[in-house]
Amino acid sequence: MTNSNDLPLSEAVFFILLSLSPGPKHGYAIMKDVQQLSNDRVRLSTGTLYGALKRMLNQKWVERVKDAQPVETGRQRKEYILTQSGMRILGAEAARMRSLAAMVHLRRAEN
Amino acid sequence: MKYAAQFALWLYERLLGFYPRNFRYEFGEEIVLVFDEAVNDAVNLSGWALFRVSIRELRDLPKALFGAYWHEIQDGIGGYRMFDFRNEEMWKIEDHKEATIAALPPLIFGFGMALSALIIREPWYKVPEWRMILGIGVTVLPQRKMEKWHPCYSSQKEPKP
Repeated sequence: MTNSNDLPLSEAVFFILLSLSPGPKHGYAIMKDVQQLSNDRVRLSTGTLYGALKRMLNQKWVERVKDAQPVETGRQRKEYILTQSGMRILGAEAARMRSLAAMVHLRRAEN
Repeated sequence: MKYAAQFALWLYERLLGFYPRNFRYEFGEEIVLVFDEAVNDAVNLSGWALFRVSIRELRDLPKALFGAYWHEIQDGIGGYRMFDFRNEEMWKIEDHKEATIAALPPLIFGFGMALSALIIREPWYKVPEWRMILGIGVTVLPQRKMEKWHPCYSSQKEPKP
């Protein structure tokens, strides 16, 4: 179940969830993907990204897993993966946006 | 360019000290790694890209800090965790003098930001370079010795769970 208080999602949270929907990603991959998804409009800073990820981890919308391939420095990166709850909230946000768009079309058709 | 990237990373690690302890403990190493990757990519593009990455981080810092502390407070109200330096032996604040010293860096940073805003005033593209450098300098230079003032501001000395 999604809590109605969780909607609408902030733009950063929406794009992070959307970025994670195809599969797990690590922090920098999320940053780049969000920039690409939003046509360069949304550029996340590390502070914004990890602040949002922390909230999403607490709400159990995402989970943290260890990346199988360590980076060149030898340090283990962590990847984030969308949970069922995260999928649901993303779907609920998409449905909310669809209903808003439908309302706009309806109002335009009336005029 | 290499030195500029190293300086950006050095500065970023210092600024991370402003985040709540729990946040630093949970994400500190990872967040530095991500910034390092962003800086390396930017360096390969141009100096301008590096400047943009650094400015973006500085611009979002106050909001990100506010969010992190707000979340910390909410967690505290939720009852399962409190933001409390005194419970860790390493960060134990012994007396009022130490507490005052530990409270200084964020105050000085805030004062530096305010002073910097007064010095720079106009949009960055209109400001003479010396004023920009002075403005940034008054904010960041006092933080250089920050982690020596009290270990709670060090991002490098986190205990293992």
